[in-house]
Amino acid sequence: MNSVFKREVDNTLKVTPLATQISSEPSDEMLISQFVKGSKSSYELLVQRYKKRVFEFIYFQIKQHRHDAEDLTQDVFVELYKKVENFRHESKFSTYLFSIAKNIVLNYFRSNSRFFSFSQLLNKSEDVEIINLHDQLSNEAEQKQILLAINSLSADERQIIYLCDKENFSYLQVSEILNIKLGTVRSRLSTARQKVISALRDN
Amino acid sequence: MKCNDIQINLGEFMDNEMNHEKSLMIKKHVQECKQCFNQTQNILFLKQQLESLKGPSLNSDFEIKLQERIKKSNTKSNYSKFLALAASIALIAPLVHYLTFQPQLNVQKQFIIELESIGKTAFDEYESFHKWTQVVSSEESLVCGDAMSKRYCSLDKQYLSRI
Ligand SMILES: [Zn+2]
Repeated sequence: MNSVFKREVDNTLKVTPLATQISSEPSDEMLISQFVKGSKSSYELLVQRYKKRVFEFIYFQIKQHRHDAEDLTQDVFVELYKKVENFRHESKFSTYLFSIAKNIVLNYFRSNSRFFSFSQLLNKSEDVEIINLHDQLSNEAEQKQILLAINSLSADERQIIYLCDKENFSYLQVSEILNIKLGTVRSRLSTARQKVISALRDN
Repeated sequence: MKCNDIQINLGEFMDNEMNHEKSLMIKKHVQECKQCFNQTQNILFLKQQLESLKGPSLNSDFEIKLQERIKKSNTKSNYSKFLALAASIALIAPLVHYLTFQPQLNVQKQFIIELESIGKTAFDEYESFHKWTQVVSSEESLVCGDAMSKRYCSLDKQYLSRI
């Protein structure tokens, strides 16, 4: 690449820290527009900001295969780099990024059919008495139980429960990320939660 | 409303995804019904548990690997672009010659932004990793960041590429 403006690093350039003028960090949307214009630094800031969230999302989707989760997280950010122009500014950046992550997880499942465990968790009869799980589970066992329970969900259910309850995305955002209808978000989320609650109750 | 109908809607109620009127009705029922109240507590419990789920930390070389992969994919795509161009030239050249047609290369000018490092920042390692700074010229903007774990500032400058 040939640069018209190739020049020596200008150390005398006067720079005023903006931090004193603007207290908040640059928004995702600001960074993504800078990145679309070619700013690699903005891309790197977005990676810094989201790598952990994307990694954890993938990690819990693919049942704690750490190494694969790291590779897939890389895939997400490579994809973001290559297809940044696909980002539409009417949706939030996080929604866009998680939809990339969702697709990458989906492809992973397609090529690793062994991870598909649609083990159907019991849909117990309606008349069973609802006990309060707070009373039943001890603190230290809780995380382990919850992990077992979400691992036993279908991939679709695990995705939705994670996006809603861990990531706190709104139903509308989840419908965008997963490309499903709002009604499907409601019903699938409700089913997933009920399965986890039942699994915790029965263990 | 029966408990079953209420319980179907409890998730939406807990997520604040319900209209005000319906929400009030559910709230009233939950305050009076032990079964449905327990279910709200279970959903709350579930949400709290999921919120506190923690994965392992990412390897420290994550960014370095990512940078390498991006470089690789860039080289690949540049190479394939070159191949495509070479192939099209090979196909078109004889035809052009035959027709004594001088093709007008329509070089599309496009803005490319080049980043140039203009020096390192002196941020403390534990300080927040980036800060926005400002340059006076409107054609230049400065981005400071902890890119690939090197603390630096860089200057975004626009220039016209010559393909
Ligand atoms: Zn009830």
